[in-house]
Amino acid sequence: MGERPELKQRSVVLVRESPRGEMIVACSDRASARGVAVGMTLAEARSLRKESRGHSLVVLRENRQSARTALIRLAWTCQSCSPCVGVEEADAPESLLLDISSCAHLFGGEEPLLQQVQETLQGFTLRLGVADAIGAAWALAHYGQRNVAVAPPEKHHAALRDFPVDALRIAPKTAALLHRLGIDRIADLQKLPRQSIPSRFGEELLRRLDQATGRRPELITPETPPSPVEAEREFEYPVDNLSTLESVLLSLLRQVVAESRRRRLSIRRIDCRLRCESGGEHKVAVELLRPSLSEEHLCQLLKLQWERIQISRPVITIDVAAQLAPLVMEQTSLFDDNLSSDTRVAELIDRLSNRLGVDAVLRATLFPDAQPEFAYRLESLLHARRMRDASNRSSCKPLHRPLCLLQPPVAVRVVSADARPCRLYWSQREHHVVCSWGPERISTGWWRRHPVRRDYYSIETREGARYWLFRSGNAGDWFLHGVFE
Amino acid sequence: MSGDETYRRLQRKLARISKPGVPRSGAAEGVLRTGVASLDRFFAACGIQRGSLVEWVAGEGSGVRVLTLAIASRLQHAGALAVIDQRGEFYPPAAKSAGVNLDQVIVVRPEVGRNVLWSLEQSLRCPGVAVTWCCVREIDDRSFRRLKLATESGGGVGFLVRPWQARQGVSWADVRLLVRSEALPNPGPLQRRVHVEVLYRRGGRSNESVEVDIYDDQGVMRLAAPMGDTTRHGRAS
Repeated sequence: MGERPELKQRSVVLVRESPRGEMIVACSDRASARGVAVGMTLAEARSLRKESRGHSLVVLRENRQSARTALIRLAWTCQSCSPCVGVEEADAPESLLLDISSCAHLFGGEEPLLQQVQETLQGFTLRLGVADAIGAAWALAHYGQRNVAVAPPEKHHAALRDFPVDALRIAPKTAALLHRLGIDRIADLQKLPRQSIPSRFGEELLRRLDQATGRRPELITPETPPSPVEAEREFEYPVDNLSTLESVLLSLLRQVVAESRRRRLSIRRIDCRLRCESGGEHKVAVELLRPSLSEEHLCQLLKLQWERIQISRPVITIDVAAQLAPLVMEQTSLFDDNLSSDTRVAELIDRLSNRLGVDAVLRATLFPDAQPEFAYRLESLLHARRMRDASNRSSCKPLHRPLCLLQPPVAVRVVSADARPCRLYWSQREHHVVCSWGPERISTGWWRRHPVRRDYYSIETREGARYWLFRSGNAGDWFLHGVFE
Repeated sequence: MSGDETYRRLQRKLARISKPGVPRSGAAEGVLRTGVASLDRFFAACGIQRGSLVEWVAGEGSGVRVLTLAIASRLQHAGALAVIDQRGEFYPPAAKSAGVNLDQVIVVRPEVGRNVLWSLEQSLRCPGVAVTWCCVREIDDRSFRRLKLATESGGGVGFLVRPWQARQGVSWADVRLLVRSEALPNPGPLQRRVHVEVLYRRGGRSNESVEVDIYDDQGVMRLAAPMGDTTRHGRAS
């Protein structure tokens, strides 16, 4: 959803193939509100939508490879909370495992550590479980009554007793068999003789039970970010020819791409360093919105950066380092132009950001602030947080504002009568005002460093042009703040 | 991909090579509606053909930005909207009032003048961008031609907002429209009327005109042809 913000306001379901047909494995809040639930078939969900006469469902097909890749990326992100973060071992993993046994005290205890995890994964709906054993923590996270469930040290046995047997991470077939025999809770299962469990229900059940209670150790396979791929070229003698340097740089880039491809990882950032004979160095950095392995795209971005660099002294060494990310598997097609439009837009943002600078390619977020210049914020698309702020869809009522806002407001000469503007002198012309609307008073408090008190007027001139003026409450001067263009 | 589909794609590619006028992108076929039927008639395909460059000539304060962004918002279903804003005047809250989905907007603020045309060309060339919107004051013939080719290549739509003085210059746009503000019998801050006139249209007649009412009511921009008599003379801009 972070990558497709347009789906935020839609009823979205994620479906998986099953013997019953396409089964819903996750759904958005909006879909839930319409009665759609996990476990329903897609046909059932669609019939509900017809009854409620709502908009059609947006159906996304589960892609396990992409989901696993995304989970690995989150595991890397969580390394700020624990040195050992892994992904659960399952066909369709959905949980991260963090070993916090030796690091909780660094955060001031388990509770602050959990807050840190929530902040790190801001934007996701999280269910957290903390226990002495991995199996018990998994059960608490999935079947606990609260979103954050903590079992006190050595008390996880008691916490598990009332959970259903499904909380043991067992196959649905085994769980169904246990339910059929009336063994619904883990406590019921623990009453059975241990020796009889493998012969009656299989080895897996006893293994999972022991893992949940901590009798059998379980390991977390840590997902560590890959080390950067590097390539270096040292010249026999200093080189100052730009085309030679560019050609060497591109050849090193190709080496890095080939190595990344061999490691089945994609590139998310490239840092090039050109060391000069006299000791100085030039740096070129290429950043990407989405990790890529496209040699053509990366070379293009590097060339855009290269155009901006000025080599003043001969270069003796060039090194290129690429930071890597998991490779997202995509179905390739017969034609190049079949790439998704999202990928095309991401490539455009890369090109624009690398030529114009990251602060020149922006996205807007709105804020409910009375002062017009603070009612929005522009942030770099490359550096923007993954999840978009919901304020772009906030319920605050949009005000009548001009599309062209002059920043800062321009002092203008205005002739007024009864505090209303009659004539405006702007752009070396005299504009006669035929209509004016206002005042709309905007006043900010003392807590602002520069509090304002403005009376805004929308005016229409004899020529039909509309402007947005204000009279400063402090000095009574007139300013032009926008044009209704 | 089935054999039939591959065959159709190859046929389309062949048509693009043999007929230069046909937009080249795979996603370029199709017509985008502005939401105002009388405006759609200005375009040869009764709507804006993908791969078209539309030039809007207007004076200051005429309402051209509101009109063009309100139309652009109606084309956002086809992809992103790129706003090339060299002067840093684009005001996102007002764009939202005009119906623009800000989540699908890329604001580009090139600092150097020559980068404006480069950004514009890159954006027009990108098939993921449905509309590229830019205020361009001066543009030479050669650059204009490049922009037209980029639009055809990308398959999106380019909106170039030009100053009043540009109406006499050479244009490579598919349509050049003149926008000026019109007087309303009972003017209000939330409603305005603009007069749109065709100055030039590739392969069609010019001198057609229409009046469009723009309502900025509760943050919902509505465009409509005015009711009743529309024969009054517009003001000189």
